[in-house]
Amino acid sequence: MSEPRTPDTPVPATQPPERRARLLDLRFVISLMFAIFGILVTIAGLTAPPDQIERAAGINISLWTGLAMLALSAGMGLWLVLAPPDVPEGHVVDESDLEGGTSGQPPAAP
Amino acid sequence: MVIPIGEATVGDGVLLQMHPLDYTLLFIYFAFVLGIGWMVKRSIRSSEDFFQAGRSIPAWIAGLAFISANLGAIEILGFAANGAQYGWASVHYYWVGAIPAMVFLGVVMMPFYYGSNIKSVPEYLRRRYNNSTHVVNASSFALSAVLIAGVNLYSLAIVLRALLGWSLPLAITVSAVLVLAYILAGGLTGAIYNEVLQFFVIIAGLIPLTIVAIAAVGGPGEAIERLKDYPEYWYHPWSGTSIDAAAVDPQTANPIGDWVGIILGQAFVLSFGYWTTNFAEVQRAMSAKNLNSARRAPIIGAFPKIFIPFIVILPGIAAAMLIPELGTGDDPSTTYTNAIPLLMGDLLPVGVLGVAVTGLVAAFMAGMAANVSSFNTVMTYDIWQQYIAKAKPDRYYLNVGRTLTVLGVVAGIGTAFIAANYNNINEYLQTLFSFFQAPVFITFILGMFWKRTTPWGGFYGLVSGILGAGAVWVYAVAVDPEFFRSPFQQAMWMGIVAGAVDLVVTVAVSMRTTPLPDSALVGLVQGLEVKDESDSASTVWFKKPEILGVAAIVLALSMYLLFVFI
Repeated sequence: MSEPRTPDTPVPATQPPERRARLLDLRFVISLMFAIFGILVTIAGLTAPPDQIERAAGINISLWTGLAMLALSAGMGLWLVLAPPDVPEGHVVDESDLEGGTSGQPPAAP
Repeated sequence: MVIPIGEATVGDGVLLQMHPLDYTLLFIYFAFVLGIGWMVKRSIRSSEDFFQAGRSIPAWIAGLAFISANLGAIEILGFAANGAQYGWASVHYYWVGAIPAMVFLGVVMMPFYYGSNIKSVPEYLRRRYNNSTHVVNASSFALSAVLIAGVNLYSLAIVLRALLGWSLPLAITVSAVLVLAYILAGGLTGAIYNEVLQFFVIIAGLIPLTIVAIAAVGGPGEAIERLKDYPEYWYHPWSGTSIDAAAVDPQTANPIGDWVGIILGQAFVLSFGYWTTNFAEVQRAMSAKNLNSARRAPIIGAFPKIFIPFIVILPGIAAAMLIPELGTGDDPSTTYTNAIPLLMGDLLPVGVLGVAVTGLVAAFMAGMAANVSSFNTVMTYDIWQQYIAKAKPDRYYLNVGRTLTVLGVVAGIGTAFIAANYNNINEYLQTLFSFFQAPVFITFILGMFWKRTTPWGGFYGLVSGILGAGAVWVYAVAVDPEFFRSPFQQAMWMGIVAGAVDLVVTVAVSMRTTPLPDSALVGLVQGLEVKDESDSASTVWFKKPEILGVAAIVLALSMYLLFVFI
């Protein structure tokens, strides 16, 4: 922590700090990726031709997996909403990060 | 455990039919992997951020990364192979062979690691013993981490070539560049965040595979019925574990080993050595934001670990039932290691196939990244800063760490290629490193709980233990190849002998040499612990490592009761 940090890419000033902190939370990343995975795989399940279902022992496994991934996504998202990252989670979302990011200026080393 | 490597090991002859949607899922995952590296990049300001994740990670993230670092593809393919070959017998590596050790790390050992403010596990040996002990441990760890990272990378490339038809150079470049990018950018935080994402992707791929595979056998009832066609140890994992089982009847003898070897060798010496002193694991827990989180991390990881056999061993068993030619004949496509790739190709439809392939790729990257991120830490702090360039500015060590990350990956690729071209070199190297690992736990535990242990006691004990493990290996290879019923049993007894020799020599030398004064042992030895306020008597019960730990062990051991009903 003794070194001054290098300037980062400026953060769009329109994002309030809480919102930015949420976007940088790992739970958001997991939720987002499984939302995309879930939608794609659910669609594959809904449109699966009979031979694809037959091949998986008669189970429409893409549909079930897609829905399960959507549930995981929703669960992570709900957790993030219920327990927002107010406590600095690593240096990823701490105060100096947000201030430094918004102004584009490196703050003095703590 | 020796990791197989070679041209015709994994995936050969199992080219998958990947739909564009399956590829889309894989590339979306790649984008997220890089995105995480980019996301945490701005938090890397000091060497502490880069190597120790700023000691700021929440317990659940550290815990899932802890388990994910071990859930490499070689582990997954290896235990599925064990399932296909020996049924449930290898479940001991989880329920007695991992959970108690993970709990022990959290409950008993983590206060010494976290409280003493050390940056790596080898550093504990330097401060508790002396430089000689430290060099033996740090250098053998760094070398084996490079080898294992390289083996993971090379195996991933072979799997990508076999399953997806990618060329070897393309597969190696893509995977090495991805892992390098997120570790260079995000350091340990990048590795840990990605490991948590990998954990979920691996699970998301393996659970549907297991469900479909069991359904294809004819459902759970039919699968249990058919288990009875196999030797009893397939469904009663403690059967055939008497010491003389192999002499009485080799057919019913449990191939994993005898009960003394399983409990004393695997569950105690080897498993405790791996889970509590292997820095690639312990580093994840040490990155936590306070002592309580660091202690809970391995225990949080223990709960999913209890259930992982159901998604790695079980598909292996289903593969044995569904693919009768598995493990027979010379066809490289039906080796036991191919159990999971074969099931994927036979059973999974568009969509889920993409998730499963992504999970497998993620698992290789997890296995590689954990070793790269622990290698660069040990090389920088334990070797470079300690013995080559002391007292430089922090920025210097950050740069050294990044350079060593690149060199480590390059060396890993080189090692794996050489090993693959010269049969058995890789196997010998891994065996050699297992000698170094075998006695380590005894040296740590004596250092932590017996203040009288002296620096030279620690050194000679460790070195003698390594030689003891080597002696057992030489005996088993050169003198009496029939002595052990399987490589598993041999490894367990190497652990027992190494641990016993280490214990005796450490105590004997310590009685004749001078111990360190208390002032040099603060934070390192029982009675001189350093605690923080996060971990006090007032902690709520569900955050108490002791309560969580006992719950994990009781749950793991009660899993054996499932087999009573078969």
